[in-house]
Amino acid sequence: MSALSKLRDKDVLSGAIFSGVGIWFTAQSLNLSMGSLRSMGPGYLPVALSLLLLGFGVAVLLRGVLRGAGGMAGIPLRGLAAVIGALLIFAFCVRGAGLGPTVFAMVLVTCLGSVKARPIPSVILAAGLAVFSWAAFIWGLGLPLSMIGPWLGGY
Amino acid sequence: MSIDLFANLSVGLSAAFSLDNLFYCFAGVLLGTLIGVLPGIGTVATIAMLLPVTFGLPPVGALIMLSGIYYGAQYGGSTTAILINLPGESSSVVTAVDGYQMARNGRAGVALATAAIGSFFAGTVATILLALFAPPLAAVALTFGPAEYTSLMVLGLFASIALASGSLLKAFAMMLMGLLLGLGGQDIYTGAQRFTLNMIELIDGYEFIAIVMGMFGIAEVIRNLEDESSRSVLSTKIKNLFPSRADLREMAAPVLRGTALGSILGILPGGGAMLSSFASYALEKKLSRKPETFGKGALAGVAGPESANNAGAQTSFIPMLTLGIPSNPVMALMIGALIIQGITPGPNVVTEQPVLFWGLIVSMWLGNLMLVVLNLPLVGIWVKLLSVPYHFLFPAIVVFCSVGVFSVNNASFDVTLMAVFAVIGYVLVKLDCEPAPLLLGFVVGPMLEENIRRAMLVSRGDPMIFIERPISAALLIIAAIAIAAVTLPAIRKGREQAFKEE
Repeated sequence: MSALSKLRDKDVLSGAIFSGVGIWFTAQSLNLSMGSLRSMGPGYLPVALSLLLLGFGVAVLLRGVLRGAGGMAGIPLRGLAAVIGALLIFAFCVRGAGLGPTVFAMVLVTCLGSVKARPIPSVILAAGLAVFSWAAFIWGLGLPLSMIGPWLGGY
Repeated sequence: MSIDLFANLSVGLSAAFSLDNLFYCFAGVLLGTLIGVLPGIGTVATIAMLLPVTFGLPPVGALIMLSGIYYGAQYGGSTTAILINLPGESSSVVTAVDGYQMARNGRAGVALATAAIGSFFAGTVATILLALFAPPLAAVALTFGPAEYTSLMVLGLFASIALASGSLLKAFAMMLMGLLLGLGGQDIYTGAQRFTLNMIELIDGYEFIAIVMGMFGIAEVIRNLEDESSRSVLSTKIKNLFPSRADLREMAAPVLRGTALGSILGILPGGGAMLSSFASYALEKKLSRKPETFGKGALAGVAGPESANNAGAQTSFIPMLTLGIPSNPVMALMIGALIIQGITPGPNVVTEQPVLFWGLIVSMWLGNLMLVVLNLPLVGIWVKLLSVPYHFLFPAIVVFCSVGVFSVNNASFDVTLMAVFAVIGYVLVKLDCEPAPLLLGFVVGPMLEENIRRAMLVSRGDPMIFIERPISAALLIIAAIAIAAVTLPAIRKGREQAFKEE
């Protein structure tokens, strides 16, 4: 097995992720006070657990290098990008643009992630969900959101 | 004792039969089935998505509705499994095997009815078990000190790792990540900020609902977008819903065995619905006089697992309600919901919140009854729902998840957090890392730390306290045995086999 294919190995990748996260958590915990075993500070358990995580990460990584667990399947970037993009639209626009336009836009972006979605049905779906969101969440459940936000001249 | 039980049950009856709670129970079962029947949405995602609906309700109503959603979603998942061979969740994977074959043989109605009858019977038995065993267990738990609690949580975490499918090392690492994430936010004793990256939004810790919805709801959507090849819905009309006398006789024993098996496995941490249904399927196949029919539409292959997963689902409430320890991701969500309602989960719930506790128990039985009454006549509607194409469905899921996560704290930041965890969850699943141990770790993390710190204060820094106390030592020994057992080659093979049985 070549070195390049090792990089796609499931154990190598997940081991690397665990180790990286372990190192990150260790770094974050080091500036916290450790305290003693008798009176543990806020850093005691985080340091212990993150070093343990680093250990397990290295173990998984080594197992991958030595034995191999098979390569990871490709990630469908189109679906991933569309869904995550839609979530970010919601996060950054819902206050400013209001629920209606935000839902409309995010549904259109989400639909880009599907090879089966067609333009006109997607627009109808987006409009329908925008109206439904108003009915269910603002009118029905009384969430403190406006339908049209300040960016678009709403309240 | 028995007089107590009846007094308690009458408290529960009057709580569950109040008009409001009857409505919440009904709404929960209906909504749960409605969402659960949609292909590609599992139980955890269904509950997480509908959780915000319950925020405005009083605690009793909220919990009744959530548990209604839980068994509704589970039943909905079985319907999907039987009719289109697309199990919405792991616990109905085995139902799909024989249920779908029965449907292809024109016995879809009988398969659905068998699932409903089995679930109802199992639910009834498990509810009685819950009423009988939860209060004494809570009384025992009340005597626990911090050392016993620490060991109990270690046992819970280890057992859920031992029972998870896939690599032990990875499950451990996932649990550790969950524990660490759970410790994020302000330290309760010193006010020190941990893992907050100096962001105000993270001072109260990472939002649990955002993590759950990211890792289970959104990650699932992305996974479904990988392969959009069309599913074949059985378009045949569902007729002869009612099983014949011979069918009833054939399902009786599997239902009984499934109920017993599920009730026991459900109490175990990490057990719950999925393990129960797998174990029951394996057992029925072994005991059957005609094992060759399994996989080709055996009635026992539907009756056993469906009873087992419902029994397991109900009895997994026992550790959650009495110890405050979640045994599976759904129970972790329930604990999250209790905390949002201002109730600290633990042994005090039984005595301090009798209306909540007993009302929930009675409503569980009612909810199961409603499921049967609701599902058999409405099955036509569910079939229609199944034919909604996924590319119309998933934008709606993304919208509902966003609004749901936003509404927990009215924070846009939580939606960003959900997006981050969706990517993390998706990548980890692609790398064969199960997300469940991470969730359990996240919920248990703060409790575990608090109890370890208190135990160390009590013992003046002597870690021997965990071994010197008999109950604590016993719990740790069981935890060690659980891990040792699954690493033994013989059992490991059996475990791999049990999870491969599809």
